[in-house]
Amino acid sequence: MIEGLIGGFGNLFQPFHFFILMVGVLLGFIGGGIPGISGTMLVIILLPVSYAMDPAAAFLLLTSIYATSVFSGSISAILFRTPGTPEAVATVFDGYPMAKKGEGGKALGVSIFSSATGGVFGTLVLIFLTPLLASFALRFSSPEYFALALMGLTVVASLSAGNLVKGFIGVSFGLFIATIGIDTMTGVPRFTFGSGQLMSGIDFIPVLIGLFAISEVLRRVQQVHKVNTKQKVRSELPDWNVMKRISGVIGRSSLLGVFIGILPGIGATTAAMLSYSEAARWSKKSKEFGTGIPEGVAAPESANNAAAMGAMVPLLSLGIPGSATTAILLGAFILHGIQPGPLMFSTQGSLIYTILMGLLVANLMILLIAKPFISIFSKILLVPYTIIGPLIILFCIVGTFAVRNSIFDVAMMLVFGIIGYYLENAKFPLAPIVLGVVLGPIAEDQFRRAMQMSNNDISIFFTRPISLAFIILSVISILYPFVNKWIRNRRNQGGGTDQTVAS
Amino acid sequence: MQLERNLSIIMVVFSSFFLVMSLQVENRTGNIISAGTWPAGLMILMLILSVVLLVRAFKTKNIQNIQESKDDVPEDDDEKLVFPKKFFFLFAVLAVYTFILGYVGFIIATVLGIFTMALLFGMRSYIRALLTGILATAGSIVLFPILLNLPFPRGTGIFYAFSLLFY
Repeated sequence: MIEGLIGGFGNLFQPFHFFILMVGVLLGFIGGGIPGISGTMLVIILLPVSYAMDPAAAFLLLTSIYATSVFSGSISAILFRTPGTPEAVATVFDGYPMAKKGEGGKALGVSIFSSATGGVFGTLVLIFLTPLLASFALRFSSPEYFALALMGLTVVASLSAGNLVKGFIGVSFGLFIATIGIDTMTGVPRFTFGSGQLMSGIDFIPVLIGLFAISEVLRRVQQVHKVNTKQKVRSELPDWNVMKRISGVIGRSSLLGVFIGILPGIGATTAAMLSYSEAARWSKKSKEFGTGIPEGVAAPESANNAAAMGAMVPLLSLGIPGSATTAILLGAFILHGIQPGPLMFSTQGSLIYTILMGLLVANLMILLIAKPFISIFSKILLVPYTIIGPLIILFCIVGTFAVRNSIFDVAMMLVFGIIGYYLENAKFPLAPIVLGVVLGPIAEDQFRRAMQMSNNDISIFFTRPISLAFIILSVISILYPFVNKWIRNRRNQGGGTDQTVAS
Repeated sequence: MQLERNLSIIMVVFSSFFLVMSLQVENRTGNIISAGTWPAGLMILMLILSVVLLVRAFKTKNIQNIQESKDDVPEDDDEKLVFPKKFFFLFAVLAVYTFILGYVGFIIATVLGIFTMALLFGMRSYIRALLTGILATAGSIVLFPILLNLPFPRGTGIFYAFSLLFY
């Protein structure tokens, strides 16, 4: 293995390969930074171009775009509340409030540091633990997937700014949105009202862009805009104190991210969301999450980069894609006449190790290139909102349209913009809705598959150890706020009542 | 609180309506767990929670009324919603934009859309607003349909022919 890695390193530093890697890193930055161009989209677009290159150069290009776009999605998430990529949606929760408080540079610095750390950690896991982790993930079946999704849902619902009822309403609403369209298991149309466009369901991109970006623009159009010439966004890498503060979060989130990334079909978006809620759950300052704290940026950013690398594990070791982009990479391998799987290490060892070393360097490049890139990119902040506002709307429209080339999706984005605006006015947390939409298909499909496996015997979820462990964790996370409240009330007895559980 | 109460009522109606719809979803397989079971379960949960929220909103109405008058602390200047009407105007512009996009194509719709939005956001000069519209549209056309081969809406008839000049 060491020989392979040294060989890969040598291969990577061939001038042309290194040049291609740098092009990939820059394209990933730009693609991820601009809402509407996701890493997946760039990989798809460049796939035909890569065909003309030798496999090492082609995969260095595609995988470096994939690795860096996951990070750069956080730039616009932090500065404009518009996630550049879906993976950065959880970064909005604390990144944007930090930018609002004038700590945009700090948030970006935390994001750079966490992304690079998470990415490097993910790549090291990818290099050294691929066979072991893949064999563990292979034990997962439908009940475990459902239980995992359930855990994700309950965690965010209980995180809903102390408002459980609203949080659970949001989750149910999000899960319901995910059921619209043709049922994948039986082919029955659900809630389509005869509309052809609704048959293919409501994609989660219009939902999340509508809820977060459009609602924000609808609010800001009502405000007076001053040109903020003083605010210079210069990403500052976190100082020692902040690093110490976020190191635990980064460690836990990177581990969780890699683990979730390895599970096929879940991906970096879910990993970011889950790690955000896990970070809040285990934090002593869980109530400060969502108000703009570095931990809230570090958790999703380290997890999504780690998960992106984790998603490569089943691809390279088993030939099974762990996410949408790795599915495209699988296609790219096949296009180049290579069949990914266990045999690839012996037949294409040099290529594999070049890719692995490329990923490692691409993640390290985040630390080096992100700072100058952001200082150019954040000049946008000096442009008055009278120009930025319409441009954000334009990016939102193009970003939504680009997913399925559908004007209907743009209309959906607008509808969710209005919904988001009013829900936010009524202090409804928006994150649970997005989580419901993202986790909905996994939760429902795996639940129904598990029920089919067990002939509708619900005990299947409780008789399998991994599934049971996840369910116990879910129950604990639902009950925890109530128990906590009850304990506090007991302590404060005689000191008057405070707010109700869910309000 | 008024908004919360109204939203709870909308949610009760929404969940009741879709609960009935879920129960009417065709069961092709004859299995107990059909295509309608999952959404029905979700709607039952949402209905119960919305009712809880509604009851709570009514219960706390009086307390809130008193508190609201006490808590009427002025917001940060940047956060104040000074032009509430602009919300409806922007929404109307976006709705019209989305509606005409398929008919007049990306170029015309976006130039007009960005021009109007820039004015709505407070740009005083018509020329600057128009320039913003033209440049933003030109930039997106170069980036998306030309460089990235994304098929932008072309519109119909004369607008279709017009779009062919650019992408």
